[in-house]
Parts: sequence; structure tokens; C-alpha cells
Amino acid sequence: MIFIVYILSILYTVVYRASRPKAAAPPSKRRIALFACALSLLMLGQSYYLVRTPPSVDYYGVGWQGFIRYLNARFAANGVPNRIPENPQ
Amino acid sequence: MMDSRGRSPSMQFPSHDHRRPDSQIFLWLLLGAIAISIAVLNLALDGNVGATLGLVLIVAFIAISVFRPSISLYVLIFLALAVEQMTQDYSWTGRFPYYSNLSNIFPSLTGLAINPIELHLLCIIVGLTIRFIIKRENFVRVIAWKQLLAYITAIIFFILYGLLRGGEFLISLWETRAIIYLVLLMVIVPQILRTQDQVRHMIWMIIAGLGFRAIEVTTHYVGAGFSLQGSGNGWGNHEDSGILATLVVFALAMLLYKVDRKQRVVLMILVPLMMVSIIASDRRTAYAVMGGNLLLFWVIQGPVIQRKIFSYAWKAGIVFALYLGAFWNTNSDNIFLAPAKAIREGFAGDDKAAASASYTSNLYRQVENYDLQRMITERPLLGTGYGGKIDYYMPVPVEWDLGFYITHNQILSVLAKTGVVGFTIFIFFYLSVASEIGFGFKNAVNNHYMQAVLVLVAAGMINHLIFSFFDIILIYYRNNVYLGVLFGLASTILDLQRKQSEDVPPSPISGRPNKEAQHWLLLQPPEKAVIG
Repeated sequence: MIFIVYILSILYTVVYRASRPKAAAPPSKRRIALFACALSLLMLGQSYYLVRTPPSVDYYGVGWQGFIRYLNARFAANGVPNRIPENPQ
Repeated sequence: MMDSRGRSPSMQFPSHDHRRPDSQIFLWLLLGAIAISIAVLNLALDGNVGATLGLVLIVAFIAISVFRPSISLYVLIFLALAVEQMTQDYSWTGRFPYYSNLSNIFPSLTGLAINPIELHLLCIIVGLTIRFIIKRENFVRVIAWKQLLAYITAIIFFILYGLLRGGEFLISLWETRAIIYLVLLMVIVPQILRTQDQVRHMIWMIIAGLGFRAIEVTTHYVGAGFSLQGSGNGWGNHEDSGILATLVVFALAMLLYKVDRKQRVVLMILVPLMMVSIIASDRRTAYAVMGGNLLLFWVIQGPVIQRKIFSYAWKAGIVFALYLGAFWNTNSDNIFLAPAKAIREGFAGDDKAAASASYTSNLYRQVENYDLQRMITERPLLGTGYGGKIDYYMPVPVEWDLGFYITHNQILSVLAKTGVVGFTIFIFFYLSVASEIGFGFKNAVNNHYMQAVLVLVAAGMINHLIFSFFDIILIYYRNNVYLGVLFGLASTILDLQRKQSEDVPPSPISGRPNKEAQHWLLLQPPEKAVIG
């Protein structure tokens, strides 16, 4: 969701600045490039932050249980993905 | 000098009676040659009338594409929007393989990885090239073309980089094929469509294509008793809801500016069907797209209109908040309650009870995002390149083989595969386009129809960027064709504005003759006739 906030706030800034009646020219390439760099770095920082806390996934407890068990078995058979959690049951 | 009927030479009109005999002979010879060719073709096909007619139609279509690329382009956008890329059992257009590779349509053509839409594009490109050679037309400037060039270069670089790192070329082609459509159409459309009338015709075709989809999805939904039973995972295709949301915003713009009565009336008839289709598609992202588009619609307006819109919007916002509050815990699929349920499930995250049926859908997105973020932190600068597998640090319930290569969150995927360098170029391109659209909107203050079209273009871009964050939209053919055409229209509009500002009388903004110049008050008085 944070990306949407970033993208919308920047679109707001860029589109807003360009579409104002007083705007004599669209924002310069350099300014837009700076926005793009800042957004990339924010996304990168967000990744470093979020990757520290893996999602708590209850693979066998809810929802399409049989489906997930089947897929995990398939993964295990193929050797992908890397790690298969043990079935707690 | 007068002729025998007392008419001056300038009053004589050409008629069929005066056609030169040699041109008539040529016409008859041509018709004869065509008839003989069809007969020979029919014999070669063992008298199969259907196959003969099909081939004749294909040849005729190629001829139209080459000699009138604008007509072919209108057909392309209609087919791209009306025909589904991922067909369902119940699809009306399921038997029309517009997006399938020829090797899938004709099994004997093994390994021919080209599809009808690419052949269609190829015909248009040939026609356009011939037109440029014969007519020596000027090249219309494409919006943000330098950034577009950087974007294409980056894509090619990351394909090669991925291959060097052990990726597969076919996979990288899957990942970038649709983006190439976007780039091609972004360049081609403004070269073919150069007048306001042509922009209007293209909008008609977009309305027709999406109107067809809205009618189809609504028919399925109503046929199932206003339920999702039998739909699989919502009626219609995933991308339909987002694309339809852009047209709803366009309808709002048309209402606001009160332009083009015919298109406005048709849109007003279609809007209820489009809203029903969005609900029937059961896509939570569609509501995020709609919200983003409405916000952009407000942002892009001038201060006076902004205040006017806000005076309505805050009241509508309170009503909507009350509606959400009242039905937040609903699990009903009722058409009026489905939006509240979908929005709650979108916010539910890993809350199993709140997410209910969408739990698994939320779950694999979370795991995918985690895996992508791990990939990003492993290779932050240049990523993995295109063509490689996703590094699954946590297992994901994947339903299809492409899931090993392509994730739902396409925006994070760009960062994971192309690193900070590629992602910056990607964002730089889209933001540059956004700023040009915004500036074009400001300059079109005296042409509200063009302003409405630019709102549609901006809405298309917002749909692309938001939907791609949740679903595989960045590499979908239909979305990229649609966005490529919209960006092309923006180039046409900005070019028309440039010509107007340069005050070039021979190229009026409309394709029709300049009405002002034809006005009876401005016409030169006729020379006085001297009698006697």
C-alpha cells in the first residue's frame, strides 16, 4: 500500500504542477529524474525494512488447505522452491 | 468559353459518362484477374468455400491495413478490447484467437511464436512506412520520447543481462512482449491519427470495445442470477474491471465538460453496465483503481472546478463511509454489498476471519512480496535481469507454471529484476508522460473534448500503475495495447496544440475544412459582372 501512496503523491506533484493554469512549462527532466531516484531509494529502503520480518503464514490451517498441501507436495517433488515447511499435523 | 449547354468550363462536373475508356478497361481487367485468382484459390483449396472466403478476407484486410492504416488501427483497438486474452469457457470471443500464437491455432506450424495481433501490427507498420515514403509526411513528436528511448534501451539491456546470468530467452520474451506493444503503439498512433476527428473516431472504437465487454460481463452476471457462481474467479477477465474504471472516469469528464453529445449519451447508457461489470468481476483492485482515478480527476482540474467537485465529493464521501461502516462485516455477494465486502477483504491483510474467502489470495501475494523483497536486497543495483526464475525463499501456492517466473506484484518485480537502475528509468518514463499529459491538459483549456481525452489517458496510466501493484497487468497484452493507444492519442493532442500555437493555417485542428474560413461573412465578394 505504501507504494500506492508514493505513486499517487508523486503523480499529484507532477500532474498538479504541470496542469496548474499558471504553469509555463512542464516540470523539468532533472526534477522528474530526482523524483524517480527518490522513489526507487524509498522502495529499496522499504524492502530492506520489511524483509526483516517474514509474514506469518499458516500454510495448513486455513483456506484451500488441500490445495496448498498438494502444491507443497508438488514443490517438494520438483525441488522448488527452496524450503518447504513441515506440516504441523 | 461556354459549352453547348451554356456552362463555363469551371461549372462542368466530372461524371461517370466522361470516364476515359482505357480506365474502364483497366477496371474490368482488374476485376477479372481478382475473380480468376479467387477461382484458382478455391480449386487449390479443394473447393472449400469457407477457407477461400477466409483467405480472401485476410488478403482484403491486409490491403486495407496497408492502404488505410487508420481504419486498421481502429479495428485493432476494438478487437484488443473486445476479445479476451485469457478466455473462459463461457466467453463470447473464446473462439477468436486474437492473442494466441499461430502454432497454437495451426498445430502444423510448429514453433511459430507470432500471434494475429502482431501480424495486424505488422500490416499497419508496413502501411505506415509506405505512406511515409510516398507522401513524405513529417514525423509527429512522441511524448517523452527521450525517456521512452531510455526505457527501451533498459529493457534490452536487462534482457541481455538476464541471459548472461543464465536466464532463458523465451521467458524474457514473455516478460517483455506486451511492453513492446505499448512502445510500438505509442510511436505508431500519432503518425497515423493526426486530426481531432481521428482522435474522436478512436474514442468511439474504445467505447465500442469496452461497451461490448460491459454488455458481455453483465449478461453473464444477470444470467447467473446476480451471483458469481459458475464464474470461476469473478466474471470476465481480471483486467476488465480496471480498464472499465478508466472509462467511467472519462464519462465523468464528458459530463463535466458537456462535450460531444453523442458520445456522452452512449457513455451514460453504458456506465450502469460498466459499474455492474466492475462489481461482477470481483476484483478488489478495481476499487483502488477507481479511487486513484477519481483522485487524479480532481487533482488535474483547475482550482474553480476543484472546489466545485469537492463540494459534492465530501458529501458523497460521508455517504460512502456510512455505507462501508454499516456493511463492513457483510459476507453477502449481493450486488449492493459486494463493494463493501471487497474493500474490507483488501484491507484485511493476514486477518483470516476478515479476509474470509480471499485469505489464500492475500496470502500468496504476501509471500510473493516477501520473496521479491529478499531478491531486491540480495541484488539491489541491477537485479536479476529478465528471463530468470523467482527466488522462492518461502513457498508460494502457485497455480500455473509461469508463476515460477512472473509474480502478481509487477512493480516490485521490476525492482527485483532490474534493480534500482532499471526501476528509476521505469518510473522516470511514466512520470515524464504524466507531466506532459498534465501540461497538455492545461493548454487544452479552450478544447474541452481534448481535456476529457487527456483525463482518459491519465486514468489509463493510473490504472496501469496501481493494478500492476496487485496483479499481472504490466505484462498483459490488452492493457499494454490500450495504454499504448492512449499515450499515442496524447501525442496527437499535444502535436495539434503545438501546431495551433505556431498558428499554422493550412493544418487546422479538425480534419474538416476550417469552418471559420468558410463562414459566409469572411468569403471574398464575387467579382462584379459587367452586363452589356
